Amino acid sequence: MRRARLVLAAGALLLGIIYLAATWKYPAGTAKQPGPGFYPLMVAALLLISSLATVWQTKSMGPVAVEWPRGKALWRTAAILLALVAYIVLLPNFGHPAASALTTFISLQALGGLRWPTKIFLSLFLGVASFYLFNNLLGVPLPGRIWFR
Amino acid sequence: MDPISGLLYGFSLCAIPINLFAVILGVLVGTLVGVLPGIGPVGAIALLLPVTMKLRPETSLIMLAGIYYGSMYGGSTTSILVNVPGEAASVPTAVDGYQMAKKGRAGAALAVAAVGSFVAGTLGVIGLMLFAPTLAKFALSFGPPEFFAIALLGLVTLSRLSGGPVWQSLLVLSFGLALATIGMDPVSSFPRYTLGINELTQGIELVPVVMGLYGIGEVLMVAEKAGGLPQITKVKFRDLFPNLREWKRAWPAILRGTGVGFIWGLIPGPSPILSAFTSYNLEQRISKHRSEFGHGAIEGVAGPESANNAATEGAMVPMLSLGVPFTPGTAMLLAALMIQGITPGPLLITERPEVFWGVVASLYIGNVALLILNLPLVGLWVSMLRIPQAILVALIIMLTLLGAYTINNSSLDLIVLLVMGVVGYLFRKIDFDVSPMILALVLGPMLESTLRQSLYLNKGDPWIFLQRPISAFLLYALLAILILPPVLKFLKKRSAQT
Repeated sequence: MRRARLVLAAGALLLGIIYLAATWKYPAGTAKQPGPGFYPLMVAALLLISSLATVWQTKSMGPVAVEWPRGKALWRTAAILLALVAYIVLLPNFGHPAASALTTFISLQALGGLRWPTKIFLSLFLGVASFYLFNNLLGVPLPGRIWFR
Repeated sequence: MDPISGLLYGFSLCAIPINLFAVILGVLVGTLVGVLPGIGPVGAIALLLPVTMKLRPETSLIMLAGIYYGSMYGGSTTSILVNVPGEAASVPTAVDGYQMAKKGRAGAALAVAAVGSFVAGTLGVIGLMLFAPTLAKFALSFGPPEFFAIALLGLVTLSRLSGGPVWQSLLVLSFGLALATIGMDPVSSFPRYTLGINELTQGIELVPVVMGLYGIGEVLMVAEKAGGLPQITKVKFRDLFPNLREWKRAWPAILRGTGVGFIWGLIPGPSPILSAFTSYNLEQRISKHRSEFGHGAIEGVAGPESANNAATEGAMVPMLSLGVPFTPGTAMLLAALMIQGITPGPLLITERPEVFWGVVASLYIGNVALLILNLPLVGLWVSMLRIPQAILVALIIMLTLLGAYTINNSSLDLIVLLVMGVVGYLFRKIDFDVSPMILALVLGPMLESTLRQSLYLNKGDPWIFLQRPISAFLLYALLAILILPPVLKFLKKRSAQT
């Protein structure tokens, strides 16, 4: 846990430096007339101080192990992330029904416990039903592409 | 409008079928969210936010508020029957509730939890009805310095209360504040941190951030641990009657829990969770049956369950009267109002009485509906846990993706969702609380604009914050909150050494 926290705090520190560098470009103005960079400078300072303090605080912590996923657990977590990426990539070109069916299938496959026909049926059903519910019944437009015009 | 006329007006609004439907749907979804471990009320509100954009503001808020307080009822059911708290606020209930279930008193525990929740919920609404308009009237005299002090107090107090080292919470908080600065500057419309991406000029949407941190973050945790189904205790309707001795012990705990919960609700912080733990500790300290705690003490169920329900109503007081959310749940309710184009603040009650009184009346109806839903239908809710985890996860993923995308029909929101999901997962793994980030994202713009307005009004003199009594009081309180704990710790350490 200590190493993971240190990595995160160091990442935050780097982010704070990048944020501060970006803030520098905006006019800070004066206390009488604060500009768009005035408040972000304070936020940048807080981000830098808190990340440095977290590094210092973490260093004095006792070692506590973080259980990172391994083996099957790692595969399941990675598959869920893959399912999410697949939806984001496929949605604009293939539409919601196809993208959501594939996403659902990957997540069902990753978590296991269901038979193939059930997984295929559920994936297709969820893709079409969620499109119909949001697009047609609730009036929230979704990209249907070639499947549903 | 006086409270009685206001309440009658609110009930007349709730009699409109769409509003009544919104109450019932809200508490149903809330109970379901409470029963099922995973998504939580904040994520569920975020999921339904895009759908409510088409509804009237009062209807939207009635439904979303139903999810918020309904989840507290549902959380107790699974805590008692399967030792799986659907909500963090139900963790103390699981300690003695599950032990009662193991001794064959599951029905009594469920009934006491439901009645306690109902009593606390109802008394909490009375408190909300009386406190909120008074506080709103008082807040009309507030200017930017007061609102700046309130927002700052809320943010910092939450960072101190959410547990874990102070700097760690402040780090999460500053992440949220930095995220909130992306987009147009609220005063000069100057684009900041947009990386040349047009969509970013509108800023980072709250919904994908919340859904990512809570929904996707939790889904990744569930995927990692994916396990079998829990062992479920069966409860028959005739078992749902506590005996006289149990009632006698439960009633005082219910009333104490209500008081503790409502007061916690008024204070910045994750009040439902904190109030439940405070109430459990209080009951344990004052009980004549202290040895029973941890082995099935009914006070350990009655107190925390009443407290977390009263806290949800109490948390609505600052949200509706000041326009300042003190919990992630009320931040989402406030976001729902803002999406509808309503400016939250002290004028909300007078300018939009239908929103305030509609919600207040819906809370009375919702609490009755929850009592009915949670006792006779207890078996149905528990059977939800039999749904295979893979199907639940797939459903949550789909709703999360749809919820994030449909806010602006933008792929950028989906990318934000994914990134925040990974951040939420990593933060959970290393035991960082994400709630300060949500509040910072909501309160950040208010903090910035009130700071700049205050300085502008006083020609750049920062002493304005200490010259005005209310802001000075709040800032001194903030200072005390920050300084007192380490000082007391130091004194305690020194006295132990001598």
